[in-house]
Amino acid sequence: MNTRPHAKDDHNLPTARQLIMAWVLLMALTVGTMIAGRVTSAASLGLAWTALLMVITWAKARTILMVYLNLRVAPAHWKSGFSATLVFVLLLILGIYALEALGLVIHHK
Amino acid sequence: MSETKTDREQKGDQATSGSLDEGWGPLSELPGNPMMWLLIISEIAVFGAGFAGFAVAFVMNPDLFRESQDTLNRLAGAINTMVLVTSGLFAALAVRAESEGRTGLMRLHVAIAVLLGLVFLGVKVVEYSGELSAGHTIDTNTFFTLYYLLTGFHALHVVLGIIILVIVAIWHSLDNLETGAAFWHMVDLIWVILFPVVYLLR
Repeated sequence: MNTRPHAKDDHNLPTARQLIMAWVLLMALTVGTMIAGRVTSAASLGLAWTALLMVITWAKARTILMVYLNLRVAPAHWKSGFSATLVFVLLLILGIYALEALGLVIHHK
Repeated sequence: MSETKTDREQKGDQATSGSLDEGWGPLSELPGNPMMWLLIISEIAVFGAGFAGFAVAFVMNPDLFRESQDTLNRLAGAINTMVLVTSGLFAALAVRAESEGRTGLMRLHVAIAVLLGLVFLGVKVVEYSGELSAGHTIDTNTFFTLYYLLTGFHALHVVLGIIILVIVAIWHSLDNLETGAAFWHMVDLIWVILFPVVYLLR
């Protein structure tokens, strides 16, 4: 008999290799964030770069949910539900910034 | 064959466990502790509303926000993102080690995760010191009010996450580790959205 308390892995956890691959992806996406967000410049981003930044942010958040938080083992409706929630939050933010970038906000002096 | 006391106790435990699972409804389909997922959903909603509010405040006064945001140390924010996702890796590896019954390795991974959490807080202190010494306090303008509130509220989660990780490493079980690490990953999840919204979008 195996006396280890949790020798049987019934939690379907990600393997060490899967976790390290997710970390490599997250680090690469963070470098992408630094480039798209021009961390060393004060220049405005513009709508296209802002949109790219939101896409990269979605990919990072989704990787954390799916691998680190192990949501990948959940039923499809939970996975798509969380992905859709992230899309909603990030699209909302992008939409608000787009109002300013497209000159649709009137500023009263 | 007559049923022993131990058999009855085991059946009782299973019944209790089963009824608890059923009590969570659809949340029981999620991995780990359902209560942690409720917290994650709540935090996404609360911080999501905070980020949307920040974006609205930006478009109402873009010049002030751009000028104020340019004083932030964007590189420090990016480095902190790398620190936190690396800390998240070690928290997840700690859960993996616990599932294999390797308590020593689990504690080593938790210690590294905690150490990186402290590095995150150290960078935050350096950032705050820089802003405060430049005269940028919480009531300087709307940007700095929202900056200190959002990053400060997140930093409090980091402090709480470190305490939780230490507790689950001492009183360890797979469920405890999974729950503690889930809180830590939630803190990570919020930061990867907070960083571009507060530091980069302009």
